[in-house]
Amino acid sequence: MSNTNEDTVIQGFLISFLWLIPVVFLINSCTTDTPSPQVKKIETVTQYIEKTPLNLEKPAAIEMSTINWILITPENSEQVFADLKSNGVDAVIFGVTDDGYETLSKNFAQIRSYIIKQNEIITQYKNYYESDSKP
Amino acid sequence: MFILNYVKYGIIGILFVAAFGLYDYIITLQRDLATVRAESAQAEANTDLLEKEIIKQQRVIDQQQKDFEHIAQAKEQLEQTNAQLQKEYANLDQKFNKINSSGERRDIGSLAVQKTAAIQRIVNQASANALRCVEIAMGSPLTEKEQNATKKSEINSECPNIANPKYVQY
Repeated sequence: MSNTNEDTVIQGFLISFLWLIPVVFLINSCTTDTPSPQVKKIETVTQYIEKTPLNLEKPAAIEMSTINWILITPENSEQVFADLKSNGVDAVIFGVTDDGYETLSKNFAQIRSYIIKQNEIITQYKNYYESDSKP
Repeated sequence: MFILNYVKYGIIGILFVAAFGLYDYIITLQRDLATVRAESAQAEANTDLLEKEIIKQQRVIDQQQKDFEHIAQAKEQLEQTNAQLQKEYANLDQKFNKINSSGERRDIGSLAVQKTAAIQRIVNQASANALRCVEIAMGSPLTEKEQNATKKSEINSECPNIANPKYVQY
């Protein structure tokens, strides 16, 4: 009789326990399993690679030799060649006409302009790439 | 009596399960709290990193703006140089092809026939000036005379822009 009573008590206990288990988990799940945002660690990589400055020296300016122009006309040609002979210079003239002289002068001016422009560009490049304001 | 036993053990069961539920709830809460704290710390670290990156990006933007200004200045300088050189070339063309008051174009050949000695002197002086211009263009330093020249008679008429910095052309 005593055993029967104990079994009944245990049965009652188990029945009370078993029906509460799902209820508890159900409530628990509603209260604690709220989705939390997954914050991932971000990584950044910064890499600076600087070129070594070239630092080439500009070529030294050339000292130009003087050119002596001689103008020859029908009137002074004999005198010019006589002067050449008397100065011990070969009696020959490498000549250009007045139009040829103009062309030569303009070509020379354009070469000079080109040198000036190139120098200006090199200076600007040096100022830009070798100034202290770079990061 | 038998029913009372059911009720008693039922209440005990409820209390037991409630205690277990409470325990599980607290454990889960602590775990979630730890997760939230870790994520919060990570988010804070991310925020710091992003703020630093924003500062770096701002520096890059500032540098780019300076670079753009520098490039604009360089281009402007080159344009000025080009304009000056074109002007000098036009002046040279004018020396050969100047139109006089009677509408005739200057003919240096004809002038050379009429005033041979004078034109020869002018041509040699112009040639010497042009050679000196090339020397200056290649980086030769200016002489004191060239630096201080202010009058038309003192300047290098082939390239006053680079040879005579104090000369102002009107």
